[in-house]
Amino acid sequence: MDAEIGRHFAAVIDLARQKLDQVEIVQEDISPARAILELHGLLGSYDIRIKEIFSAEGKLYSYYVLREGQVVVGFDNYPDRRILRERFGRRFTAHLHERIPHRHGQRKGLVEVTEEYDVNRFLEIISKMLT
Amino acid sequence: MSTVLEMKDEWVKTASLFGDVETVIADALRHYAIDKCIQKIEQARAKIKAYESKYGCDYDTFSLKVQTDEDFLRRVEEINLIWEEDAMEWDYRLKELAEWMQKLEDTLQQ
Repeated sequence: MDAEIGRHFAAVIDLARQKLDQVEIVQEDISPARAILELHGLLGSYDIRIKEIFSAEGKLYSYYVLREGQVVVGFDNYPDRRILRERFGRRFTAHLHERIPHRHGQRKGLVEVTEEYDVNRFLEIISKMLT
Repeated sequence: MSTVLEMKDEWVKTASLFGDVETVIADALRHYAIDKCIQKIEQARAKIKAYESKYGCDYDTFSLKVQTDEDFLRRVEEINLIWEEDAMEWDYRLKELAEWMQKLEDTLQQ
């Protein structure tokens, strides 16, 4: 996993530096079994938060835009109760660990299922949306 | 697995003061691996402890209640609106801790 993820993280950092200002690599740790990258940056007056985790179980991600401490938009695939209830109804407790890519809207008031996102797509979308 | 290493003569001379060079080097590598495992374990434990303290519970409780208890979720979102970032790393650190503990145990038994 090391070399491939290392190249991926380098590409993410490079892309973030092209699209964002004041990019700070909060953490980058790669081991044979797992890897984590977290970085923060600015797009105009918006705070951009990017976090990716890779392991044998696949990719977990969290890409968020904040302004003055409030969520403007966010994409992640951590299990979400509203999505799980919507998809599985009363049986949702049997699926508490299911990763379903989704999008949070303004102040997390809205949540909807999406395709899996990557940093490239996230930065492309927010660049159009916010500038 | 056997490996050929290039080393400074000075290091080899110093190592030979403590006995058979191969044994000394193997022992040094084992100690190095143990130290690194302990360092990783301590780092993971510190992260886990910080999350437990931040949210006032362990990860199993957190991951269950955040999906099933609306009041709990509301309190969590007061602490951190984008708690998903923390949750995914919390889980990651627990698994990482278990792996390094296993690696340490394996190394200690060798």
